[in-house]
Amino acid sequence: MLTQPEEIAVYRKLVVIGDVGAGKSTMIRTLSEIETVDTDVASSKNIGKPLTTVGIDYGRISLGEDDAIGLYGVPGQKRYSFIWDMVKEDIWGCVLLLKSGQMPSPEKILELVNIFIDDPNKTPLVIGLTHTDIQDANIGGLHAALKAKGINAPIYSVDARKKQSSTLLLHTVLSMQNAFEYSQKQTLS
Amino acid sequence: MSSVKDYMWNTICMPDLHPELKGMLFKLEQWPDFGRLTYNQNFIDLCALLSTRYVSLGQLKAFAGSNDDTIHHLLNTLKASNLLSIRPGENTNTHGSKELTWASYKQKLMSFIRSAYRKTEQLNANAA
Repeated sequence: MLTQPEEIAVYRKLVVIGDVGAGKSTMIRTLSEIETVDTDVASSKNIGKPLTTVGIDYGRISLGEDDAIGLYGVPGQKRYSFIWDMVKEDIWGCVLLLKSGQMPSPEKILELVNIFIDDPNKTPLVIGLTHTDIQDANIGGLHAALKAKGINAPIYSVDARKKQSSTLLLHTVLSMQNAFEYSQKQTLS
Repeated sequence: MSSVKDYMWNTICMPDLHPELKGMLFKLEQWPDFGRLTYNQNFIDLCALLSTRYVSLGQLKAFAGSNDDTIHHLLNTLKASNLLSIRPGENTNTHGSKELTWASYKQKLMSFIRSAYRKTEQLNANAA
């Protein structure tokens, strides 16, 4: 007797990395369909906001009954590398949020990207520049550094508070995933 | 973003492919900053494929399912913005072009994204 193949639930991990105040928690809150799980505490230093995330943010986009995209907000500072180890396996896509005016050097950014992305032709990287309304950033050096490593990642000016911006970042990750898959099929055919 | 550039991006005023681009293969050198442009959603899909390697017009069409005017407009505008590399090439085959389907979760995610865009547009329209 023929039986229907059992549907396998799909769960994919989208990681949002960024330094303090870059907008990780806000972006995840904007996209998530569930109440986000965060680890915000009162900041002891003046960082321009009363609360900051000391651990991980978690949100989720449900796709039907079984499938889902998990949203993981991860601090970009090295002292949180124990959290990186927990989320860096099997990443589906990576959004890097950089705060304009407080951008790390291109070398530091690449170092961070390398931790989360093994193969830039399989795992999409999308970069969002936040706070560009306050200060514009010179991204020529970052573009050149990424290009030298064979990474053609979009760098968008975004406002994590706006759904349009978060949707653009998510849409680009999905389109890049599709493009990698299509391109691979074309190469194999 | 200057209003001239924004106009160039979101107004299809160049639906015919520029003669220099005919019969060529295309590759995106650098992504436009869609965070600062009023963009057509198809541009994201097209740029994603263009960013992977040199592709033909037929491959772009098969991948994104966009109409000719949209693809021509994007290529013309990318070229005018110095974001596109071109090289001569055959219009290579479009493997599985008609039956191109994505995994079910990707289709559901695209529906989620389209719905998010619609909600934003409605909010913007109500605010205007």
